[in-house]
Amino acid sequence: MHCNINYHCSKKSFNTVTKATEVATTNLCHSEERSDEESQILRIMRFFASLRMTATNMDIIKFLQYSFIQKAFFAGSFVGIICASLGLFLVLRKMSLIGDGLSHVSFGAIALGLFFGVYPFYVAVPLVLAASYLILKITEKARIYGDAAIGIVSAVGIAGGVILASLSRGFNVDLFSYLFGNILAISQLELVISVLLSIIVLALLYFYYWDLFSATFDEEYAKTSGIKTGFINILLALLTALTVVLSVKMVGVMLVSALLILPAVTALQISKGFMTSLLLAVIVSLISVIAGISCSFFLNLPTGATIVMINVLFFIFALIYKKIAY
Amino acid sequence: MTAIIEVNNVSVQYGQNEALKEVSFSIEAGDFIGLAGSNGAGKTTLIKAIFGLVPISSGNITLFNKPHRTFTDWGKIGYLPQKSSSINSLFPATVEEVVLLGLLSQKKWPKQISKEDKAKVEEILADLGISTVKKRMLSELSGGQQQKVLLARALVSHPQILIFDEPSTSLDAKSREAFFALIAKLNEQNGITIILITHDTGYIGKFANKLLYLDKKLVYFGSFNAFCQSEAMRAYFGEHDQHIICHQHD
Repeated sequence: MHCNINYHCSKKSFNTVTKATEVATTNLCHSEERSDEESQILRIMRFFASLRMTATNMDIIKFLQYSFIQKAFFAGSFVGIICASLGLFLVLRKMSLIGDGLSHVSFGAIALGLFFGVYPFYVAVPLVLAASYLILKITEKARIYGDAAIGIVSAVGIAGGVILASLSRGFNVDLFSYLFGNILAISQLELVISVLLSIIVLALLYFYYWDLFSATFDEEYAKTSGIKTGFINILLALLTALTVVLSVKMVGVMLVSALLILPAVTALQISKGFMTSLLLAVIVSLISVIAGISCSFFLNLPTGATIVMINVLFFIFALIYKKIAY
Repeated sequence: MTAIIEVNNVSVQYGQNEALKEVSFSIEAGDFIGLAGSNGAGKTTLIKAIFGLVPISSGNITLFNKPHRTFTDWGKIGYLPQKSSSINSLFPATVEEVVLLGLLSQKKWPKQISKEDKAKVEEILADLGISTVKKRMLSELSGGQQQKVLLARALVSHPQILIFDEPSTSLDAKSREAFFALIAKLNEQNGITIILITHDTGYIGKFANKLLYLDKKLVYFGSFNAFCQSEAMRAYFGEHDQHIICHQHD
C-alpha cells in the first residue's frame, strides 16, 4: 500500500492534519507489512501530531533540525540546480514545453508503476527517457514541429495515466498526489536517487557545456566545427527527461515546467553573458527552493506551488529591475 | 600550387530534387573564389557538402588530401554563416564567449577552455580592432561589429580556408566595403584561401581571382577576367547579364 498525502505544516493546519493523521496512522499501524515509504509517512505524521503543542514556539533552528526538512533542502537544491541549468538551454532553443510534455508522460509512467505494484520511480525513469527520445525522433522523421511532437507524447502520457487510474480504482489518491508533489515526504531512497542522478546530470552538463552552448547558439555553425549536434540534441533531451522525473516528486506533474523555465527567463532579463545567465538561473532556483520550502512550512502552503510562486516573484523583480536599469 | 579542396563529380539530391549535378573543380591554396549563382543554384548546398552536412548521392570530395568523410581537422576551415541566421537578439552571449566557440573544432572531449584560449581570443579581437567590446553582449553591437565578431570566431583557430556565406547581407554600403577589404587583406597578407558566396558579383570582380558560377551544375570555374571575355559565357548568359556579372564596384 502506498500512501501519499500532502502535509502542510503550520499552526492553522494542525487540527486538520492531526485528524487525518489519526485516521491514517491507525490504518498504517494496523498494517502487518510496512514499506519504507509508509514508515517515512508514519514518522512525519507522528511529527505533525507532536507539533500540536509546540508549534507556536517553533524557531528556525528547530525547523532546520528536522530530518525531513534537511532532506527536502538537500534534494530540492540538487534538483533546483539541474532544472535551472538545463532550463537555460531549453528556453534558448525554444524547447521550454518539453518539460511540460515529459512531466505528463511521467504521470502515465507513475500510474503504470502503481498499477503493477512497482515503485513508480523505477518505471518513470526509463519511460520518460524513452519519451524524450521519441519526441526528438518524431520531430526529425515525421517532419512535424517539435511542439506538436511534445503535444502527441504528452497526451499519450496523460490519457494512459487516467485510463490506468480508472481501471485500478485503488491508487487514485497516490497517483493524484503526484500531480502537485510533496518534497517534505521524500524518502531516504528517493533522496539518494535524486542526488545521484543530479550528480550525473551535472557532470554531463559540465563535460558537454561548450558543445551544448555552441549547438544552442548556432547549430549550423556547430556542425561545421565538427560537433555532433544530433548526439547533443539527444543528450539534452535525455538529461531533461531525468530532471523532469526528479522534479515531479518536488513540485508535481503540473508545475515541473515552471522549475525549468522560470529561473532561466529570470536570468535572461538581467544577465550579461551566457555563463553569468547560467549562474544567475542556478542562484534564483536555489533561493526559490530554500525559500519555498521554508515559507510553505511556516505559512501552511503547498510546497511545490510556493517554490513556483517565489520563482515568479523573482521573474517580476527582474522585469522591474530591467525596466529601471536599462 | 597544391589543391586543398577537390570536388569530383559531386551530385546532391533532396528527395526528388537534384540540388547539385556532377560538379567538379579544385581549389588551390591562396585562391580567392567568388561563388555565384541565382537563388536555388546550389551554392549553400555545395558548402554543406564540403562540410559533410548533406549526403552526397555521387562523386567525392577531398579536403587537404583526405576524403571528407574521414577528415576531422575542421579547425583548418573557418566558416562565417549568414549573420541573420546566427544572431538571436535574446541570446545572452558575450563577444568573448562567441569567439571561443571558434576553438572547439581543435579540442577533444571533454572540451575545456584554457587561459591560452582566452589569450588567443584577445589577440584576434585586437587584430580586428574590436578588443574593447570583448565583454559586451553580441546582440548589443552594430551590424558591422557583429560581423567582425563572427569573423574573429572563424579566424581564431588560424584556418587555412575561410568560407563566407553572404557576409554582407545586413551591412550598410560603408561597412560592406570595409568588410570586403578586410577579407581581401586576409587573402593577400595571410595567404588564407577564401570562398565567398555572394549575389553581389561586383565585389567578386574587385577582389576575387576566380569565379565559380553554379546553376545546379557547374556553369563556369576559372579566372574572373576570362569569364568576362568568354564568348561561350556570353552565349550562355546573354550580353546584358554577362555585363552585369562583370560590373565591378569602384
